[in-house]
Amino acid sequence: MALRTFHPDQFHFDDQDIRREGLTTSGGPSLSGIEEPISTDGGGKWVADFANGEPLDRAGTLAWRAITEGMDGGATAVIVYFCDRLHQPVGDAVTVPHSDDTPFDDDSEYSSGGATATAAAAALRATTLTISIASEKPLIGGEMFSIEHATWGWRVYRIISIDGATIQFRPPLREAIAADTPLEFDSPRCQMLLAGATSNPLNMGRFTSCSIRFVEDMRKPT
Amino acid sequence: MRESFLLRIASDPVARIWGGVGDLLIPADIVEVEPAIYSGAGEMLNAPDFQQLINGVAERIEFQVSGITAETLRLALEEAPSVDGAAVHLGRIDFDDDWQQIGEVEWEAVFRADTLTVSSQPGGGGRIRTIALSVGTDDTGRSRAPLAFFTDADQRRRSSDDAFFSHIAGISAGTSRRFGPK
Repeated sequence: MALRTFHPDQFHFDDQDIRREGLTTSGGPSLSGIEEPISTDGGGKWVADFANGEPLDRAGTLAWRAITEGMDGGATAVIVYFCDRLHQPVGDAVTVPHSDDTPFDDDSEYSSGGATATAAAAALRATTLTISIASEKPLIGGEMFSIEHATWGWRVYRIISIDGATIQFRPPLREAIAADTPLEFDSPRCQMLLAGATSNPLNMGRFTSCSIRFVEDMRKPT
Repeated sequence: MRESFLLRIASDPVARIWGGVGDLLIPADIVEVEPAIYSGAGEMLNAPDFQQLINGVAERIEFQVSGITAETLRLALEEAPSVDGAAVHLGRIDFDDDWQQIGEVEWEAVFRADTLTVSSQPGGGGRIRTIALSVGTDDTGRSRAPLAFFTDADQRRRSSDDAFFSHIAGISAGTSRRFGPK
């Protein structure tokens, strides 16, 4: 079954925070006050916070209600789009509909620009990839990309350094990839679960504000 | 320096859990006959401290695993009979700065699984269900320690010529006695 999608664009969030959270184990502070942590989490998982959203109209509020109810309190995974195009190696998105102003079946339109990238084969938990990319802006590190894995679905990674055609990224690959696997730079997304409760307050019977928090869905795919 | 821990329960089929996030491929070694995938993602909640078997002291420890994932529920439900008495290996694995595995898994300890306990309690706005697996070293006996008293009869059963407790029979409250055997 195709997973539902969550587009933060739709709800006009003021703040978004997409980060990787992990766990470290510390040996305790020493006599000199220095504390050395070691990492025991194998790479951590993604967490996305979206805060102070404002669905502008009736349709937006209803969309918010529909999608949050559809997550069943975190039991159902959703594909979260990060909508952070400014910090991707791409320019502004330009899309046009058909000549009669209708989009394609899946509501997408003709688009131009963007980045096209593929990666060479890599093993499970690899942290470097050899890629070939054609993008509007050069990669400088810090960009995110997504891979649609065969069993783990959409997963997101962040580039930490670039050396020619080789990139280093975190977290380690969730699943091995075959040669010529496409990398999604235009619109990174990740399969996530709702964490905690969401609210849906209604002010003056009309205005709403919304916040939501997601964590990466690390349940073993069946 | 990065490390993580592995838990392998030789039930049927084998349960493989590690302390990190996502899947981890472990190469074949003395415990794993062929390369095996360990599943992560918060299935192991707690691995206790354990002692290296240096002085030969038996010990009993308890692992806590998540009570809702398919992998661990399998242990508590259909495979419970094969868990009893299964070998439990606890290993450590090191990673380099790029999260690549360094060397082989250090298998630190081998235990024998005894009982599984499922517990469910309220917490954090919902219920928390965990599975506790009690494991012991192979020498952990289950018999009750024999009752022993500081009486002459008991002491002579332990050591037939030891008269240290020979005065015991004559002691009652308020008696004072000479130190040592009669």
